[in-house]
Amino acid sequence: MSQVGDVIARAVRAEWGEDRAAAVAVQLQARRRRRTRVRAVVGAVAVVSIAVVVLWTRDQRAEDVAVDATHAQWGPSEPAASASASASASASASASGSASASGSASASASGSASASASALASASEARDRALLKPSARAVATAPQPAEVRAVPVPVVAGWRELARGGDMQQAYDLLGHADDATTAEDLMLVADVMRLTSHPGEAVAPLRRVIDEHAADPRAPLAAFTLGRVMLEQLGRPADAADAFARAADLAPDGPLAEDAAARQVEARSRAGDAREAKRLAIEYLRRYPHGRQVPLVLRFGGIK
Amino acid sequence: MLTPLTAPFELVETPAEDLDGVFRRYSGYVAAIALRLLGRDDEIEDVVQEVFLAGTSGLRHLREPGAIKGWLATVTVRIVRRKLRGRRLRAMFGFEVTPDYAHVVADASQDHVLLIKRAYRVLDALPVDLKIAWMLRHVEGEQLPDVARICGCSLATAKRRIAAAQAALDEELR
Repeated sequence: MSQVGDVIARAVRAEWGEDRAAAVAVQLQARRRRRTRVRAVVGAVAVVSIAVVVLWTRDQRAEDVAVDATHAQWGPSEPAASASASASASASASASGSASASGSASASASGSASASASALASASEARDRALLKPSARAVATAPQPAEVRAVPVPVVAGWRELARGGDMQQAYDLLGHADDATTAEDLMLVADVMRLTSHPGEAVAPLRRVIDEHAADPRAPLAAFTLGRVMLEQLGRPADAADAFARAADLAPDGPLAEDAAARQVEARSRAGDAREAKRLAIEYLRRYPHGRQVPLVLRFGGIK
Repeated sequence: MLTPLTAPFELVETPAEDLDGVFRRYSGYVAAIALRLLGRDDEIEDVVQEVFLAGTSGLRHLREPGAIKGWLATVTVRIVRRKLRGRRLRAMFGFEVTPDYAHVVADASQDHVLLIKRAYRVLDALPVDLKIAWMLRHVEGEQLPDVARICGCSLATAKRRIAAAQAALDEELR
């Protein structure tokens, strides 16, 4: 040790008596209590914040589940929706065949009623209908102003992946040269691409092809229902929408979409100005689903008080 | 002179959980280190409080009761280092008056008082880490490995710091 250090060590000494230590101890206790309180407050705030975040996340998840459920019922033909539709539709697969026949019959009736109007159909509509089977033409006889483009049918590899990945716009761009969508799954995917890229008119043809060419497919009722929605909500063609909803109900009378299809048929008929038919369908709905989810809508559009 | 830090590595009877006992036993030790390192009395109480506040959680986790003293020395040095640096920063902007180190000298001849004042002024002009290392070695009487451990540096760095501070003192106090 150096001499200077030794001098400092001997001469510099803290006056640290018991009184001073006791005073510092009291202050120390106060600081500890203060720190404990601060920590408690901070901890409580953190716990509350975490709880809020957790609850909010759970709510969001619940909303997502609800949206998915709605989507499966009303929205695009996601695999989940198709699967759920197929689950019950497959159970009534045998019934679908006969129901399909009666559905075609009613479609033909309504189609012939508006056959005169079809003379005014545009050239693009003609092309559109040309891609359909004869039985489907009956449903598509009304003017179809939004159906200005031929059915885009896919050949270019990749559009399916793009569509399934949610990149609908790119899928749509590729679909322009496509020509090989023949399976129900592909056609439903094409319809989704069209609908979700704001080309609802171009979704009609693939949906009709699913209904007509794959009537026994579990996706057929969903295709008919989706067609009804497109007609009613996006193309402003309520009469065609009513036919499509009727077809959806006929394809799977006991399926998960049957009740909603029946209800929306009432709505579509009402919007088409056919109040008498709307009322008749409403009564039929109420008889079949007296406690159905869509009773308020049916009463409103059926003109029943 | 206080017992050097080799002592704390002996077993201490006070259990680590008995914080009040630890305070009673070691607050004077902490105050002494703080006073010598800071060179002024008015910050000692604050340092002691901070050391025992900061050291509480560490003390609970000490496996060996004998390590308490060493742990407190380490915490004290850390807090004092922060205060010394803050003091230098304030002095740079003219907010800090250089302390009159004669106030902390308990009893000494005038020659020793002058020597102490000059030594502190030289040490104040050095980097804080050099001052601390030299004080721990030559005033507190710590062994070199303990100086390195308390300062949180390697043994070589501790030696280098002590030697640099000693050289400056030898140069100025010649």
